[in-house]
Amino acid sequence: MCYKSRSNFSGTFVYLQVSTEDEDGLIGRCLDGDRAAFEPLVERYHGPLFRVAARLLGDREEARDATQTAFLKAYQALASCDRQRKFFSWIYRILVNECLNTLRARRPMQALDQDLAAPADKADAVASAETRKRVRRALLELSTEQRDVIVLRHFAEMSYEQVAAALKIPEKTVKSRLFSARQRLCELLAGARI
Amino acid sequence: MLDRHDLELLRRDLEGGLTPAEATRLEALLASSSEARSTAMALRSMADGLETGETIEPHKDAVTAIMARIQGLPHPRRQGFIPALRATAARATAALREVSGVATGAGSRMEDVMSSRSKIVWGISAAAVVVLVGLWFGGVVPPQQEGADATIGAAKRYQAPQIAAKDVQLGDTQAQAFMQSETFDRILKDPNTRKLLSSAEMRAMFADAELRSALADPAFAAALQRIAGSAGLSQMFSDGDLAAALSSAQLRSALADANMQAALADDAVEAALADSALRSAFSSAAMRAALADANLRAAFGKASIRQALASAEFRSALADPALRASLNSAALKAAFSDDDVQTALSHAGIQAAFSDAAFQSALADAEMRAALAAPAMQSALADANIRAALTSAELQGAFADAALRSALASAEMRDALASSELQSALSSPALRSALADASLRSALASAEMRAALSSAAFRAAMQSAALRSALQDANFAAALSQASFASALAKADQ
Repeated sequence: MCYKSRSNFSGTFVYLQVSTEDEDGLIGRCLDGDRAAFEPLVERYHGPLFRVAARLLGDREEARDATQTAFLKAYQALASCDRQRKFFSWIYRILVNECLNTLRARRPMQALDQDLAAPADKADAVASAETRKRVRRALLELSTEQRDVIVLRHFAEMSYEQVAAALKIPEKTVKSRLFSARQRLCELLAGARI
Repeated sequence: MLDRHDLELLRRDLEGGLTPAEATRLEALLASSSEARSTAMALRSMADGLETGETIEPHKDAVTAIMARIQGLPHPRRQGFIPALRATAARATAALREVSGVATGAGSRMEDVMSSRSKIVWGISAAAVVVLVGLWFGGVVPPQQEGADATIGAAKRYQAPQIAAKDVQLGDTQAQAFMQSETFDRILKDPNTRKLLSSAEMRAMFADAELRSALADPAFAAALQRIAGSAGLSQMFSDGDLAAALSSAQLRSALADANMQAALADDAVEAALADSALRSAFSSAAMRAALADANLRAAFGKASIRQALASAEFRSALADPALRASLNSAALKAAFSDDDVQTALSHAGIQAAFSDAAFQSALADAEMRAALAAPAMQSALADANIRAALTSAELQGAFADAALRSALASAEMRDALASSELQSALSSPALRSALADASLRSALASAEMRAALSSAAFRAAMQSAALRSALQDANFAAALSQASFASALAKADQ
């Protein structure tokens, strides 16, 4: 089996190529009291962040809540944003933490993927949902560094270069972390009960 | 069970590029092992981003909804209060330094001269902002009017129009007119205002529009004046966390409260706020939310509570997140709103307890605090019978007994308080009614009962699960109210 590349979200990465200088100006204006300056940042990133959240949580409503909460927290903590880095890499971290908190607090029997489940064969849908649940549980067991590269590479569908830019690490580090993260996931998924 | 070679095969399949031999091996593995199939499915699911085949589009109103909620949030501050002053002061100083540089002949071109005039105007504009705001809340400009009282505790928001930086963009003629006015003359002659102007940090602070708005509130301004005049309180507000907390409307509202201002005027509180643990406590979101409650603020108006803040143990207790969170509980707030509880807080017996080293140590104990924060305990505090018992003269007299306080502070008693049996017992109407019974309270006030409660044997008995379970029995609770029972307990210890 080869890894399938997807093209339906290629538009996402135009956002990530917005200049840091432009973002720095917007953040500066926000800190000076111009709330409206935050809107371009929301418009640029809410789509990709929502998709990451939806894939992590398997629920549109929870994903919407997590995305909204991430933006509100980012706004309130804007003064602590390292303006040498991309805004996306910072708010992405806030979003993932929000999603992980939701996953940890989730009741074991809570139904997942109600909105995302494919409408085909019911048995397949149940099996797929169960599989996705296993993957999410396994993601919780990864280290932060490993989880970041998995989420950005597979959920946000970023290239190695883009993952490196978002996390501000060399591309070869991205690849080595992906290698160890996939190894670890294999062990976790193999060890998990069916 | 998959071995590491199997796992490696699955991982490489995920990344693509298996050799034909490896692909054949994988096929055989998947055919023979359900575990391998399950793991492979999970990995493929992850690789596909848990994709279900549908495009995941965000809700259409997502951006609008987010921005609507942003509107309700306070502006994010660049830094804490004092660091922001320093940063702004640095910019102001740099600008003024440039002006002096030109004045000493560092630049002689006409453009430099014009630029320096602009900077002089800027400097005077900033000073004018400071002066006008300072005089406003000092009642100098406009002249003090009846009803615009700026005394401590005033609830009325000052009606004067707000100064915005754009309002004070004085041109040269305006600056000259201002300097020739009677107001400016009074400014120069007012020693307090001159002192204000001599501080670069204060000048920079008044350039902040949001702070100017807060300063227009006489009660808030009075609180800041108190803080500025106190070394201990000034140290508190140098703390970045607490300074950032000042941006919270809740905390500003609390500072404007008469009870809180009385607390700030208390030497014990001032000394306590030099404690980093307590400052941290007041910076917390939980404490700020709690201070939004008028009843809790009223508690800080009580001398007994303020005195307790002088104790390191009590301050340490307030620094505990569990206890701070418990301050937000409806039960505890309801308890503070009760007139009897407020009266009790000022009772000599309770005050003695708060100032008692053993009691304070007990409060500092994590298990004790957890027990006090437990829902069962807080529910008990909300019960009228329990509160009546706690505020009764008999029980308060009992608290004055050093031996009893020591017993209450003991490890055994703490364990008992934390036990599920005792907490369950506190929920029982029978026990609560018993505590409301005058005869039981009298028993508790008796020297014999206190001796029994203070005895090592009793404390050891409280460790017994059987005894604690018995407390849940209605008949047993009723028996506790009998004087003969108290006498029997005392004799058993002998």
